Amino acid sequence: MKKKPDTTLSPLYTYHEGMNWNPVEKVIFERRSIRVFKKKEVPDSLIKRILEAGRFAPSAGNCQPWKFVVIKDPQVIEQMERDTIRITRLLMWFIDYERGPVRRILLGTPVRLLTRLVPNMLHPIPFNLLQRIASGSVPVYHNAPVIILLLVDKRGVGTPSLDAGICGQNMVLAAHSLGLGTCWIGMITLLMKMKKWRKRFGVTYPFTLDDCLILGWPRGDYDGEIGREVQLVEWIREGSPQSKTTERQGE
Amino acid sequence: MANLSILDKAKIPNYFRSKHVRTGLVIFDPALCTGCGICVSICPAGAITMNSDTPGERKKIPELVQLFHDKDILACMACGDCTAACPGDAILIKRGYNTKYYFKKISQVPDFAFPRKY
Repeated sequence: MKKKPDTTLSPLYTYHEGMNWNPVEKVIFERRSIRVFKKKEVPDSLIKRILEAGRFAPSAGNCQPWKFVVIKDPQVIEQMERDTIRITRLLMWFIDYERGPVRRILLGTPVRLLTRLVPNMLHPIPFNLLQRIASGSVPVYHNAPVIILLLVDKRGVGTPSLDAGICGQNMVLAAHSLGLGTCWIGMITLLMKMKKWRKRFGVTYPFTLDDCLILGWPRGDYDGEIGREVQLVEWIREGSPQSKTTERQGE
Repeated sequence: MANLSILDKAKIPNYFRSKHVRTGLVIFDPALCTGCGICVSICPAGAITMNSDTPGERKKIPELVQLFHDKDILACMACGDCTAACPGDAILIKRGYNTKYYFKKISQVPDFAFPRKY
């Protein structure tokens, strides 16, 4: 639909109604998760520049509860891919109730009960993705040249995983503004079930690993504006303390 | 706004039936599509394939993969990567992903809107 529209950009630190995007907004609105990468190498200096954006992210009490691990070895990434697929196959052998008639009868009810116990992990979207990974039709790390692991220090102030998310988003926006493509890969949590990989990446107390970033030079021009669902926003304004008005954000 | 009743919260749906989930839907405009296949290569879920035999058409047009026995269950969750990638603006998101009951999106409505300059 609307690809990158050719408009002049507004300067930073100014606002008037209906003005064009400024460079930061342009990066935010045209950012897409990139999953197809060139074989070209990403220079170390560029990765360091992106990590620098993460280092200066806001965090609760300025405790910076994160640690970065950069993986650039294609052999290690290949091993990670293989092991993730293996562990996904093992998991799906136990919980995939849509695979055949026998499984549908035996596993259907218990797995759907389990969905209620761990709703975030077994949401229909990741469940579908797990099925696709197990069948080999979707890759996990998309042959990315670089993986940045975002380890979270459990001892941080407040909600450390939220701080790590803010840090990651800083790095994502910095990477996109420099011409790289990134994508969040949450399936690394499955790999962290293996002791071998936990040891290798140093994911021991106090660190945990929930998410990682893949990055590389995008093959083709896939960034661009898209449509999203209209959001219902509740406004509590000065004049009406009891009643709140719902407005449709985006229309 | 949609409020979930206690009955809806307690229900254990099967998210592989179209009665319990409404998957995303994108439509491909055969007049604008050139059959380049970019959308097939970038779809995160592998939900798009090239239609091998379109009657009366020489070029190949992409189509969504049907996953299970239920023909309304597609792998698409309307992320919009294909629409952003399409060089000919031939792809349109028709319908967003939304489950029913427990995982239902509550504060989003199905209409799609582009980023607006407020």
